[in-house]
Amino acid sequence: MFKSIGSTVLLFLEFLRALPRAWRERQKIYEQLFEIGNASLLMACVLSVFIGGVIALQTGPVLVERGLSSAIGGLVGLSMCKEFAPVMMSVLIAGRIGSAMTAEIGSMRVYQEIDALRTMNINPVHYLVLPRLLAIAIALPTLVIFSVLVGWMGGGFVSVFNHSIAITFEAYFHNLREVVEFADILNGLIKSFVFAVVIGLVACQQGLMTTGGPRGIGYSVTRSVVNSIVMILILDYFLTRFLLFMESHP
Amino acid sequence: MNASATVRSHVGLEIKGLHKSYAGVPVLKDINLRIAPGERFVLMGPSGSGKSVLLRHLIGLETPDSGEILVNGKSVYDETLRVECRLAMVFQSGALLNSLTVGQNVGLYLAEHRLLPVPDIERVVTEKLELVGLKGQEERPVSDLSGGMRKRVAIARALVMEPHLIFYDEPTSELDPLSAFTIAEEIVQLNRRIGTTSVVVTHDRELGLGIADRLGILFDGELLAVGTPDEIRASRHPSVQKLLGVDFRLTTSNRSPS
Repeated sequence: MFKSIGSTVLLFLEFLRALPRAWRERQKIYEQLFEIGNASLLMACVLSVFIGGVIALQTGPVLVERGLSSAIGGLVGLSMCKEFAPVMMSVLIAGRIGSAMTAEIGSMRVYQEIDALRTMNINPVHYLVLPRLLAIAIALPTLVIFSVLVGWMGGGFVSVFNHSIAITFEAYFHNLREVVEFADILNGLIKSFVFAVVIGLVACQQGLMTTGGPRGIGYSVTRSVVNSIVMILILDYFLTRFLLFMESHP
Repeated sequence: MNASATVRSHVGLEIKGLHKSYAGVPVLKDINLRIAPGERFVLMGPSGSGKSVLLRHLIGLETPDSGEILVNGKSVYDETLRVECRLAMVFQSGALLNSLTVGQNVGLYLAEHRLLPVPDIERVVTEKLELVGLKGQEERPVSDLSGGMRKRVAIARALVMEPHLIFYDEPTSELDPLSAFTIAEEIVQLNRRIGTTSVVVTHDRELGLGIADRLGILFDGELLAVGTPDEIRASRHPSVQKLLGVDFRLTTSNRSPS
């Protein structure tokens, strides 16, 4: 475990050192962005609409009972942008994209493709890690914005069409606009950016550490997904505390 | 890149007291060897004798427990070495990047280091592919290639680097005799044409004895003998004789008269 943490930190430092090459590697970053978007956009849409819907469904009737039906929009709005969208999209990306990254880099390691890069004096961090990490760090916050919007819509539909809530779209979005501030959206974006870096780092590190043939690739993929999700949930708590602290001490 | 052609034949290799163990099991035991610039050196030994491990050390992919590997007097792990000398390796499996086409694989070194403009890279790629008999295969995905073709693409990829030192790991394994012959001939031609110092690891004695200027026999992690093909054939060491199949030849020659 300590070896894994140590090598992830070293990989992060090497990534930071490689950052000035980002413009040079832009073509690979575009390719990765396209792959991430292609693989996760539809899934993100489906997930988000149902997450927004479930928040409205769980909280709406209780709020209506207490005469607080006008607060549903704000509740769904805040929950989506501060918590559900960043965490759920990160979990989705860890499972969908992080696992694919680990499998790809892991198989390159097992089948000596990374050794071949080294013999050509091509740094695997520049060639493989930098474009993937940057792409995921751009894609995840973008996906979170998309998820927030779709989640709000999902919550809105449930609030309007569920007979135990039955408020108007206008009332729902009016409250949402009143409650949700740009800082709340930024809060979710900061979280998702940090999660993206963690997912990318864990995925690439596990891929680069892969040994032992096809079975080793399987183990690495499992470790990559599990470690990423655990890290996301732990970091979520500390990031939330930190961001709440920043909000109260502007 | 052409300027480097003049120094190509001046790159030699020296191994001093190399030791390596994995999980306490010694794999390389006190290897000492000097390979002259422009030489075709073949390292032979049975499977599991440590040949590929030694090769991975020579190109700097593994670090020894003790000992030194010097290329023109500089450690192979010295980062400045790669600026002065180009070291290339042809892996046993080819180790081609499966996500790229044949042309992209061959031109990878030039493209990544931005050594030439794209049209020139394409020209060089075409040239090198023609050299290994794969003209017109640039756009083919490498996943479609046979074992022999993959090896030839790997050789083309190494040639693009115009290496001072080239390492071949089992270049003819898993190949049909004709492809094996073509590759063996290519190794010799390449060495003659541009004077690249070549280190070939193989357990194929036909290939080893056929192409070597000098051979080294590695047995159980120890370098048992080093010499010209004739000196190695004349060796009295039982393991060397066994490896070269002397016993086998004696048996068949004994049978022939009867």
